[in-house]
Amino acid sequence: MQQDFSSMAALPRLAWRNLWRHRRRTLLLVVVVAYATITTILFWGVQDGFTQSVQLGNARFLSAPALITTPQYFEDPDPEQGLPSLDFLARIQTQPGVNAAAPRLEFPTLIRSAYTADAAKARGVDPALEARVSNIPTAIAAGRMLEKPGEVVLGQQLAERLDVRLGERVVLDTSALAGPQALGLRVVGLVKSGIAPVDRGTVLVHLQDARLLTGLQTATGVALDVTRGQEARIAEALQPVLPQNIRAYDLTQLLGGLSSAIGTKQSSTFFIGMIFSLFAALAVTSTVLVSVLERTREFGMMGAIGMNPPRLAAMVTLETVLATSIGWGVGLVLGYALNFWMATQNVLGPIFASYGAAWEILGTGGEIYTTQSPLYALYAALTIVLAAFFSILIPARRVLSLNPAEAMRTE
Amino acid sequence: MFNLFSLSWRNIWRHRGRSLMTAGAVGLAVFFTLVYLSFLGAMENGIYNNLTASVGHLQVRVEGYREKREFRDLLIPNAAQVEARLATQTQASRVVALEIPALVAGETRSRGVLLIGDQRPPELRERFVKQSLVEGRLPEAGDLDSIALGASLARALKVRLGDAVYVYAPGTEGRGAGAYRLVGLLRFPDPAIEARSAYLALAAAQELAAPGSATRIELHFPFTRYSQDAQLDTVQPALAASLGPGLSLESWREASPAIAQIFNLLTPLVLIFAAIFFGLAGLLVVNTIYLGLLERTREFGVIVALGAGPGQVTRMVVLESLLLCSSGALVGGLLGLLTIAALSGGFSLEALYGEVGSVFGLPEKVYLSLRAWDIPITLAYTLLTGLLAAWWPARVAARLEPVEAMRFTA
Amino acid sequence: MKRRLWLLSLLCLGLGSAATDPQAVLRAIVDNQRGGSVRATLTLSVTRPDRQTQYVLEVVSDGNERAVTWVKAPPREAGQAFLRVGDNIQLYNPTLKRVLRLPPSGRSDSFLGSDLSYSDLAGRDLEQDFTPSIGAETEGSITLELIPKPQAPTPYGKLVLQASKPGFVPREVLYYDQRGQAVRKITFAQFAQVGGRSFPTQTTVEDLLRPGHRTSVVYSNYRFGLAIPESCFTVRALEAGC
Repeated sequence: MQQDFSSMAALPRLAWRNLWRHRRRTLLLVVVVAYATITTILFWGVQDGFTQSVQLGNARFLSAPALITTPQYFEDPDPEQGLPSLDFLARIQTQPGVNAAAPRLEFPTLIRSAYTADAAKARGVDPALEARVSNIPTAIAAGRMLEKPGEVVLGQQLAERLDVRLGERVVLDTSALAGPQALGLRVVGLVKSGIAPVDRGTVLVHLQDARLLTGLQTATGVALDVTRGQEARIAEALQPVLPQNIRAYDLTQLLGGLSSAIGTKQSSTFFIGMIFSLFAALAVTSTVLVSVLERTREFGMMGAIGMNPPRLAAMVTLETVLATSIGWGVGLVLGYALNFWMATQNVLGPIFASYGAAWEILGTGGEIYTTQSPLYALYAALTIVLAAFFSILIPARRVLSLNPAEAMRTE
Repeated sequence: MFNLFSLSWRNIWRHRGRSLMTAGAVGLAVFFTLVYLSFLGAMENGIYNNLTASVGHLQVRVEGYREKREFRDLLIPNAAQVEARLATQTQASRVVALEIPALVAGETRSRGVLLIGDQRPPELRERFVKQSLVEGRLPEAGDLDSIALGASLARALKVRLGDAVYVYAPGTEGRGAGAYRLVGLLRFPDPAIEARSAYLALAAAQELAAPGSATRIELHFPFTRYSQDAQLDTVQPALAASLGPGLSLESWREASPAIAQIFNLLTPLVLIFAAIFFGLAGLLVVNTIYLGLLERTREFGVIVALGAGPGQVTRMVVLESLLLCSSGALVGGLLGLLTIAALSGGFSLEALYGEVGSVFGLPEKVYLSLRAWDIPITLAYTLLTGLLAAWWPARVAARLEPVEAMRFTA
Repeated sequence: MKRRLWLLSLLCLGLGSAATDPQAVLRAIVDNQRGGSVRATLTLSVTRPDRQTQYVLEVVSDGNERAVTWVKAPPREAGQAFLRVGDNIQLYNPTLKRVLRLPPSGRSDSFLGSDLSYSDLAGRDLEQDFTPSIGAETEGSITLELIPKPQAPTPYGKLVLQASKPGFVPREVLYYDQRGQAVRKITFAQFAQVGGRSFPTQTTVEDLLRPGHRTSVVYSNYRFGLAIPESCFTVRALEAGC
């Protein structure tokens, strides 16, 4: 018993030494596992990141990463349903994860030029704060962002349709709490984002003008910039500090249609990821199997000097687990490093950009980042577990059934 | 001079286990690559089917409708006739819609909406019900008294199922106003759309605003795969020519460029995924063949010592690998194609995931499909990788001094 | 307030044409356009390149913020009625036999699809939004140039207003865009003498950029300066009339 125990303890040492003895083989095994791990991490990183970049890009153009408003306004966006007060603003700004908070007053309006009129949804903003929650200010292709009341920024296509140019005046008509109101505003900037709804529909005015036009003295919502990738969590966490009957919505709630379009893709990718993991595991197994096959003579020899088949099989499995673990570790380090690089530097953006202007519509604004999640290590580990399972199932069983005398005769 | 081919052949049989392993690895790589690519194809198909289900493959509209603003300028007169003419020319299902800017009111509140008179064949209706209806039912065809509203619109109007809903569509050509009973609540992914959606039966909408007219006729072809989209190129001009003056026929790409662009975006993603997979398949093949040959270095030494030139040894090994790789690729490819063919009719994942699948929005049916060039690319790639993996160790081994080679251990 | 303006304009008229104050001239012209409380039949003709629609409307207004309008023809639209009290617009539909209140976002919609806006009929904006200057003046006519005040709710760059003398009777307004091109023309004709003012009973609006787009409003059976009963500006009046 005593001896058995010590030899059991010796097994890992033996397996470890074997790894070093067959350096080339171990290297190949490590490379396969590392590759599978790196690519699994990147696969999900790219996949999730792409989805998020698209959503976030859209959110930053069409809405915001998170928005605080009344549930009534969320379901029936009419200035009548605006926020009862903005007292909570100071409290919100100090919450962890909230990088910026900008009040907005959105209202339906009829926008008139000397030639034609068009219905649009105007957004009253604080010019200084808006740039921190929205990408629109950075997408001004001609002119500049609002600076003071009396100015308006229009989507380029909207301006074209109204046939107004920079420096010219347009009239905004609306009718809300203050009754029918109108203001003439000078066009100071034109937005060209590549996102159709933005270029067709943007009407940015100063918050003061919006209050004047609508008669609402607060805002219809407060747009938030929050830590990327944590929108839902932060929106949830804000709830307790908000007054009753005011809610924080995250970007997936704000972008219903787009989210569902992407959701279809997401779910299909799930299977694609599964096939990938399964195949990666089989690749590892086949490498192990080949190494077992070619070591038949060696195993025969070890069997002859007293190592019984179960222990041989245990050793092979141990070797596999050790090698794959090394590969996994190497893969995790490299994969997360690579993913970190792609999550902080805009590496994918240009790749997608090379596919023409099409990607612009999704509002990524030319920037696509991968996401980071500890879950990916787990997904990658699934590959390893599958591989270990397969290698117990096939190569180790083969070792188990070895006949030492016959094995030694094998070339 | 010895016969290279027969020698290789004999070698293959001598190392039966190892040969099977090599061929198996190549077969596995080919099989999985094909299945993987077909799943990428399925992803494309799934998205294609989803997108086209919402707008139809082709759409009949009034010519230049984008520039027109007044309601009556957007009307397709005698919509039933236009539809009947289309029916004689194509098997596609037709959705006839009349979109009316209108004011909808409950007892106390009113909202501006886009009222849609909608008439669709049973299978498309069922799909619409499944995707959008949350409560109650849709107005039946020909039902002049029922209306369905976006759930959030109903809340804004403070009306419930069974309540009266008043619709006001001034300046139109029909009765201009009507009272209806709320029979269904609809949910749409986009809250902005849900807040301004109201559905009537086509007949009711026509009576309200434009007798006999429609603003849009969608043609839904029984396509399941994106590759079938190419058929539109021939169908579209022929149908368009038969429409007569004043009407235009747009493909889903033209009708909703935003949707088409989402679709185009898939290509780089698919290529990235495919490249990642090819890398793995290559590693599998290289590992198996390279490791297998490493072990035989000693044997090569013996052959060289017996008088064979290094070139001959390399050629023998490469030929051997070629035989193994191609037979493996053939079997793997065949199995892969059979699998894909068996599943390409579309298979439901419900058995696998049950109810959970639909909660996560998994596609109802998966249609595997390969593009024409997927097969040759996969075969060529696998064979080339395999040969390269064989050629390199064989060349190294053959260049070794026989004595050195015979002493070699991996 | 209105009476005072009227007196003021009379005063200006009395001063004659020697040192013409553009502001006073504008006031006089605008005053002519205004009729005060009124009951009238309006014929609204909307002309488009391919069709013409004619509405016959009955209007009762107190000259300020309250007005009721009944649609009498065409038959398909007849029976509809609009009540405007301040900022509130309610409409009555005979098919529904119901009064609907327009939602805030629906109030700026134009229901009758004409080239006219409320301000064109009311004519008050000219004074509020523009700074007038005398362009040309002859024995029988005067031309005013109106430049928008800063932030004024007008998309135009300049208005040129022609009136005949004496009496500063409005004849024509040309609307220029901000690039100096004329885009819209309103002409006034068929003047009626109402309490010392010349009220144009026929107004035609022409879209100079879209040939064939024209709207004309003709007043008939008008009676000005009537006392309008309060009951006219109630929801009941929409259905029953008053």
